[in-house]
Amino acid sequence: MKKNTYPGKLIAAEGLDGSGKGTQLSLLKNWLEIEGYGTTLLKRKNSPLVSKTIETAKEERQLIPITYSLIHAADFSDLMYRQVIPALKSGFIVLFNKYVYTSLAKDYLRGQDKSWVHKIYDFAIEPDLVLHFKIPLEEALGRMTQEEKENDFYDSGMDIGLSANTTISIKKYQAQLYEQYELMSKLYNFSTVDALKPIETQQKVIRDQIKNIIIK
Amino acid sequence: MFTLFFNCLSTEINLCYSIAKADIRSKTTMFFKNKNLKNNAEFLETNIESHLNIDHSYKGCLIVVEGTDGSGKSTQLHLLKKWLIAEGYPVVLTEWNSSELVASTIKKGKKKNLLNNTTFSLLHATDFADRLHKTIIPALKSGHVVLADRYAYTALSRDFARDCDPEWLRNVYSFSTKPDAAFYFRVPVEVSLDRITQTRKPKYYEAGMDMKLSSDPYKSYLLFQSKVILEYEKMIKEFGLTVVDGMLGIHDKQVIFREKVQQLLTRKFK
Repeated sequence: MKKNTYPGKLIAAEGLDGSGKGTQLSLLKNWLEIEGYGTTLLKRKNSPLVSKTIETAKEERQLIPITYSLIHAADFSDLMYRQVIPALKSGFIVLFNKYVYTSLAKDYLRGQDKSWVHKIYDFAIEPDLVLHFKIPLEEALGRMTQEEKENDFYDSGMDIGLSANTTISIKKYQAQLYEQYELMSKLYNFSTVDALKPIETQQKVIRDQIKNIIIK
Repeated sequence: MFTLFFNCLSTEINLCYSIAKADIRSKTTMFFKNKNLKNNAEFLETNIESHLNIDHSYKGCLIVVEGTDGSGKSTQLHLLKKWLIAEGYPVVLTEWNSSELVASTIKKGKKKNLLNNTTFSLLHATDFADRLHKTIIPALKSGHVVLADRYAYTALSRDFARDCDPEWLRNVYSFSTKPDAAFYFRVPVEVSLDRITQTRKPKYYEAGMDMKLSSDPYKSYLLFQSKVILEYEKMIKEFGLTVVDGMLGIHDKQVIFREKVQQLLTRKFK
């Protein structure tokens, strides 16, 4: 990964679905804008060019592990070069919901070689801060609606054959994802946010950390 | 029909997955044992050998043609296919950039000139991986002669000309099965330009106009494709490409091409 040498700041949020990342980032954006900082909020799988293709391919269950990796990398690359870098260049604070670490974790879980995946994402810019929203597995699962759980063949890990039963599969998949986040948290010095704390408390902790970065 | 295919596929994936899972586990334990690890460089240092350098063990035979546009490779492959079918071989022909998965996205990006070189490269890699696993490898497994009009080498040379890092590219494409033979149809860049512009102007991306080498599409084509050719020339040795003189007549080329393929098939299917 490349160091961020641009005037803007890059803040990433990682953690399981249901950990409240999205809520915290929206609040953060709102606050930063009130404070007068230009802020962009981006999300994995939301590139203008590739997101629809991913959606269709997933609906049709067309993706196998290798194309799953590559197409998400293409999505990330589109976001990186057309939104993240231009925003950082012009001094924006970029908030990224599920950054490269989520992509790495999901590819590892699909059995891709670690160094292969890592080299592919070499073009990613290292965030100034990675927030890790830590939440016990059971709590995260409980916060997901039944629809969310059954919705996605891939996000429930059905594509890698963890179980033929969706409920069991999603449990296993999220558990493995949880492990990966834990491991990466140490490797990449994530800053842990206790996602069980009330929304306001979490937000305060996050804002304090952001202040340090902006002033630095 | 699709479900059936998917089931077969998922068994295979499961198998790969369990192997990989064991692999991940062993690496994870390794990491925890080594508490003095300062960064993750060591953790990730596995450097698997590229499949492009390992002979495949499928029953079938993979024959690839490469070269710039106008080098006559598609004509030659078409004639070869006719002959192979007449000889009674089961043949599958596959072309670059033909899978449904991302073809429309690539088209859209090209139309609006929105593609960044890394995104462009990764989309093509997705397309190729899809075709490799859903068409090429299954056909090879069932003993077909697979004819590929352009292969991973096209991406390696063209994306290199688009300023992608050659090592990064080799890593991305390291999943590609090594062909039994790869033929490189060599023509000078001027001939390539002359042949494709008989009926039309060079297209935006084939001329590398996105690289802003020149505002004149003809000049841009020459500059861009020269760089592509340079990389092809480098790969002849690196990947053992067989060079065919693209300046020979169509029939002469085909005679040489068939001779070489015949030798290969005799060895393979004897």
